[in-house]
Amino acid sequence: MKIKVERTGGIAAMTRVWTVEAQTDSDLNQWQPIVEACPWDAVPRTPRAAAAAAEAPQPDRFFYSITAGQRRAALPEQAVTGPWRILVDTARAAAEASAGTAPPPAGAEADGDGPG
Amino acid sequence: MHVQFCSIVPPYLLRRLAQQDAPGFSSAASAARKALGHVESFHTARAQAVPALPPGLRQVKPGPVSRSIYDAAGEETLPGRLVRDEGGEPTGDAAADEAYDGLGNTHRLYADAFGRDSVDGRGLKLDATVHFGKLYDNAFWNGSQMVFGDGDGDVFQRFTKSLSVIGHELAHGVTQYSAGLAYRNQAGALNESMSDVFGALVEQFVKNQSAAEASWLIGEGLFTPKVQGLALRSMQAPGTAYDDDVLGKDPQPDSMDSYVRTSADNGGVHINSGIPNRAFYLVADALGGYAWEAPGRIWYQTLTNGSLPAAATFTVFARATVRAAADLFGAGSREHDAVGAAWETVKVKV
Repeated sequence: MKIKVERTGGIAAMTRVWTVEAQTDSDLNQWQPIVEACPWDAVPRTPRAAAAAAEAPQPDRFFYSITAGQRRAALPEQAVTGPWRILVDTARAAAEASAGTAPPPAGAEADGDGPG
Repeated sequence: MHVQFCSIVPPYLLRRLAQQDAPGFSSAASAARKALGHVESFHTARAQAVPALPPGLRQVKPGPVSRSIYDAAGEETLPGRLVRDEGGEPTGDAAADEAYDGLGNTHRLYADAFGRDSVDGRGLKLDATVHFGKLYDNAFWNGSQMVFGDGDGDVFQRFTKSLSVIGHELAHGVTQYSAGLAYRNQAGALNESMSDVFGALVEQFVKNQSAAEASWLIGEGLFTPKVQGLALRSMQAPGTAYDDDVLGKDPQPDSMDSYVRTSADNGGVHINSGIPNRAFYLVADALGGYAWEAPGRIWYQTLTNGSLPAAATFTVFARATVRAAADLFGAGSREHDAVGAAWETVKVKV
């Protein structure tokens, strides 16, 4: 299962992407509860749908597009709370740990993907 | 929404998450522990556009500034702990003191140059929170106050380091309380451009710089020395603020020829703002002198005179600036001509 978190917006408007590939049974055991805790069916799937559903956006806030396997969610930063926040923070930490460096600069893909 | 999401996660699952001890899962574990303790909360005020004030109120003499600076201490709860109130001694904390000074200077620009009494024109108390979140790479206006992160230390330093960024955030408040420009597509890019214009003007006003002396950069000094770039944006030459091996290149267009269509960033509000930003720079460059004088007055009048629709396009805005220039300085004046010529250069039809 591929987990991808894309963060856009912010005053600097620099996109960051964190990607993790959960492949082994042990990985899946750790990721599945985190992914399944999120109410995917209760939130918009795309930025366009989120824009239509949301109140007026707050200036300079981040916006998150999240995928996990076939599931998709599009959330303004203020809605990234509870299980979504856990998913985002965990994916970011895992992608950065897998890249083996300090947090990479904006725009860089801290890519936890193996080949393929 | 937070409560709803929290209640969706069954306590057994939170407990399981809280016990995660594998490398990389520590943030999940600590967040789950927080949620279990019901200590995580995040309330933000709703952004709300307010109609322009009646002309009589706009003439009221601005009152003294009233500031409160709060410290979120790495949490995301607003406003945080009060660390400096109006007239209080410096705290010794750079972020808190920069925010205090930045709010004061921004208030002074609006009062002295435009006769405006704070963000809402009615003496609104100015609140700011510093040290928001952990390694938080951003600053924002939440509809009622400013919020500043410390940066990750790798790409960004603390966001209070740049006076144009402080001015930018406060200008979002001014826009909210005047034209109420929608934060999407061209109206959103105009909203962003207003914040860059008045953010740049605060910096120039404090440094007493003429248009020719000013850097016209937004967020100068925010990048760490590792980044190949001067600032977040350049109003003089949009698209040239940074060009870094890892960050990539500043994506701002400098005319309608390179307008970016995208659904990201609320329809590219921070990208296409380069076009009206450059138009303002071109007016200031053509007229010379202090940009907060004629150019600033024309833009301020356009933003606050009640004629600008919330869904204004670039063309609607451009026409409004041309009318404002004619109202203030006369049809055929050099100010009026400079505004028309600027929009022509950036290829916005007037």
